[in-house]
Amino acid sequence: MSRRDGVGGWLGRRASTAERHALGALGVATAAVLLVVFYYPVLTVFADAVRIGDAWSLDVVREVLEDPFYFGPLAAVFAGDFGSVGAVAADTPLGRFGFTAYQAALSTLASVALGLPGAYVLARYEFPGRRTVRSLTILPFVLPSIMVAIGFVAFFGSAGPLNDLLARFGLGRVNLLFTLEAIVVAHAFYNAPLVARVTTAAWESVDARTVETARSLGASPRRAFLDVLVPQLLPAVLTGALLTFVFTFMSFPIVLALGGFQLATVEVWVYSLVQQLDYAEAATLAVVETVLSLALTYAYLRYESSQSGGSRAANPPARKRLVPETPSAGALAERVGVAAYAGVVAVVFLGPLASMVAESLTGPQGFTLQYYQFLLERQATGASFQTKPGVAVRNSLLFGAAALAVALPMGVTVSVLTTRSGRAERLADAAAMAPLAVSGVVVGLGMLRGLVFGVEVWGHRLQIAGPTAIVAAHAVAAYPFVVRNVSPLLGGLDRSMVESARALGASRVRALIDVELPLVASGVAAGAAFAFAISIGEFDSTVILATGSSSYTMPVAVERYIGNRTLGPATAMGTVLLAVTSLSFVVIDRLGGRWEA
Amino acid sequence: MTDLRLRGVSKSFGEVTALRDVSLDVADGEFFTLVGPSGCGKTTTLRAIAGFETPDAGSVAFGDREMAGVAPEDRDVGVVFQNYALFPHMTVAENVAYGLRFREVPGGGSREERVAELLELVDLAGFGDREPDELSGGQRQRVALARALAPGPEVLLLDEPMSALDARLRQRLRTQVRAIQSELAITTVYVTHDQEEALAISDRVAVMNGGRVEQVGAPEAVYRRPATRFVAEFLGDNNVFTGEVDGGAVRVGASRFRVAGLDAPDGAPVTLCVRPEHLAVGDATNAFEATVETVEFLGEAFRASLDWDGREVTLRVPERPEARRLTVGFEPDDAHVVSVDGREPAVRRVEE
Repeated sequence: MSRRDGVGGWLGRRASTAERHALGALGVATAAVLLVVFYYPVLTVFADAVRIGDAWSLDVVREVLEDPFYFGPLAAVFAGDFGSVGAVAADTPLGRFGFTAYQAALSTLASVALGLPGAYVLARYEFPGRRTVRSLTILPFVLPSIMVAIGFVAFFGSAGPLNDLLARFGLGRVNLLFTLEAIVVAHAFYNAPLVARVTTAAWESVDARTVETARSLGASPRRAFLDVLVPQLLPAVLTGALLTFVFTFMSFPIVLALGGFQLATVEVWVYSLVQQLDYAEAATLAVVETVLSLALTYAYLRYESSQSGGSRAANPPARKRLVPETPSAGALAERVGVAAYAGVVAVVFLGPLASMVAESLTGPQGFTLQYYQFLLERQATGASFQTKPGVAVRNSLLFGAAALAVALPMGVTVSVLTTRSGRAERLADAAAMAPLAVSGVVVGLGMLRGLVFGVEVWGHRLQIAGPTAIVAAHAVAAYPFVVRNVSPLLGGLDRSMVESARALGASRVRALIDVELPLVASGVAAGAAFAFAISIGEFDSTVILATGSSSYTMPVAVERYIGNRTLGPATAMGTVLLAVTSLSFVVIDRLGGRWEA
Repeated sequence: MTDLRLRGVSKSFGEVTALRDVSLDVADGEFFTLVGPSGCGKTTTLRAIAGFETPDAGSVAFGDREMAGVAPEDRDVGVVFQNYALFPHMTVAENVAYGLRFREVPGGGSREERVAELLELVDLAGFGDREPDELSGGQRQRVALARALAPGPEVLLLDEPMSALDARLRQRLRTQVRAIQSELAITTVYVTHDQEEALAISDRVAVMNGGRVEQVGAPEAVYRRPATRFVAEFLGDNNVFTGEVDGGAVRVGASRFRVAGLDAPDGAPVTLCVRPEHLAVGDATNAFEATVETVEFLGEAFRASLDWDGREVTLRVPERPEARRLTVGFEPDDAHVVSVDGREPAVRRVEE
């Protein structure tokens, strides 16, 4: 026995066995939840694709692959019928998949084109409210996509503000509804801020001395920009573009509302097949889509990790003022460009939301509250099969709180277990992040076909209720955002902090509670607010799981109110949704959230 | 008694081997220093003792307690890191008291008394209510030391605790750390890359290189009788010559050097070293002629770099050498043989 044992050693409050294994237990629980509410449903969809009745069969897969409606000329190639490629190409040049990729590519180009000037302004200019604008670039992530879609419908409509604006300038009317252009612009609304944000971050981490060195070596400002700055920004731009492509490839509500079934992407087509109860074909399409989006996400993750080569010395160049100190023709021209860009941004980003609110207050005879009155009446007197706004609000808030309660511990656990990881942990990280890459429609479909319809487990019929499934789907969609908010902060903590606590006698879980969590509290809070907002706005899986039931949420209610001749009720419901979402954004902001999701 | 014993400890990180068969004994109450260049494995050794790394092979024991499978929180170690690792969301007093949440207060007093006692010990009485970011680097490091000592650990582990501080402060603080260690008589393992620091404060040092322990011994012994060429060159300046045995002396180039205690057959290749301060201008038993290349003024002495037929020789002398060509000499007692036949004993313990 040590002579110090008596005073310091074995008499103290040692950790209990449960405490010792708490983190491992949380990890197992998280894995189990993911398995049941994510991997199992997705596998259900995969199985649906290759089963007819009780027999395994690749017939449906082959049918889909060889159908020019889906794959255009590629279908002929898949069928081995090379002779007819030309004929098919003339008839259906793209197919659903081709069209999906095509609109994603156009949307990516538009997002980059709209986002890069924004990155330039945010990174190079100092102006009042710059930080606010910078943090607003996260907003699209928390804006419910169906609400944005409704906003664009109101905005683009033939009587909408865009046409009023064009008419004021003496320009002809355009009809953008149900056109590819509308989809692309709406996608840019979502993703240009993403491109702007990642590029701004890269720009702000550029070491100004690299540019100064190039100048001192004889490079002109333009050459220094091209030779030194652009190569440092390019990885960020590509990261943003790749992510945009993945998102727009899987985009659902925007295309559903703005493109309809005429301009359906694969995701929308899967949804329409589900509505027609053609599960086998829906599953097959979903499988092909999921394989493609997983491959794209994998490419993105590989690229991202190959680029994150240690933190550079952040010594960004000084920002310019909006009013140039030494007026010159060049400086003036640049400011005019910035002003024009600000105008475009105002139209694209404020237009749809403002139009939605305006539309909800505008009746045939001008200003009216009749649509809000309609919402109230529907709530008071609606039949049970009708969609009641109050129920939608209540469901949204309940599901949001429940999804948060599941997603937060899951996200924190995944962050803790995968930060500072070896190869095995990186694999676990990828597996845990897969929900980001799988569309909500697929998860929703899988849950519907599996746990909601019921499965036999060892002779017992296992079945979960619709609301439970919705909460599970929301939690799965939301927790990666908790991880993305918490992990960077956790990774930035000095590991000796935790090690000091442990050497002083704290178990791993105690060190987490006493030291790590207090230090990453802002990230946890932001992740929580994010998770809540994602749940509030989630549409893709909810619309499937809530079909024909009363567990609809606000976004689903918005969608159900479309279809009437007027946009009034839908925009009114959308405005209610906007109010709730704005509130959660304010909460995020007050909590000092980090916006690098 | 808390003596510390490492036996055959090896550790790899992927392709990189950090420790190869490290065996060490640290006596109860000893101040033991691991010194070596960055990447030599000294920090990994310390982390293996603390339980932050699990050795691939070998064992760590505190007294008769084997440490395999014992979590860091159950080892009764106090650890101080280079970057202090103070908990920024706690006051100084809360930091120091943190370890007392899990262990009985040593001496049986209250936590508050213990915290006050420790802050007193590190000369920070009255600093308890400060936030860590209100303190200077040296003060933070002393808080970290107080925090590590508060629960009364059996072993104190210090991982480059001074290297973030400036030279003058470092010297003052290391004297203070050594005084506290002596007062508590706590078994201490200290990691540093600074050989001067290692020689100044340790009871014994272990010189590490490439994941191995090259030599263990008291500072003077290791300095005067380096076991390997690496140790000879790492600890202070040294002149290393290679030659071969020729009639009881060592032939280096055209010169023959007499070396005390040379025990090797004729023709055997030999590496020997002579400290710059043991070379003198003027004739001696062993002498050679060399050309002065550069002279630096160090304050208390001059350091001259000479070229001796293509060999670089460093000389430390009290007066600035005026001539361009010098005769330089040393006595047989001042030469030390570090290897014979290219073989260096892997670990040679030199105890004085």
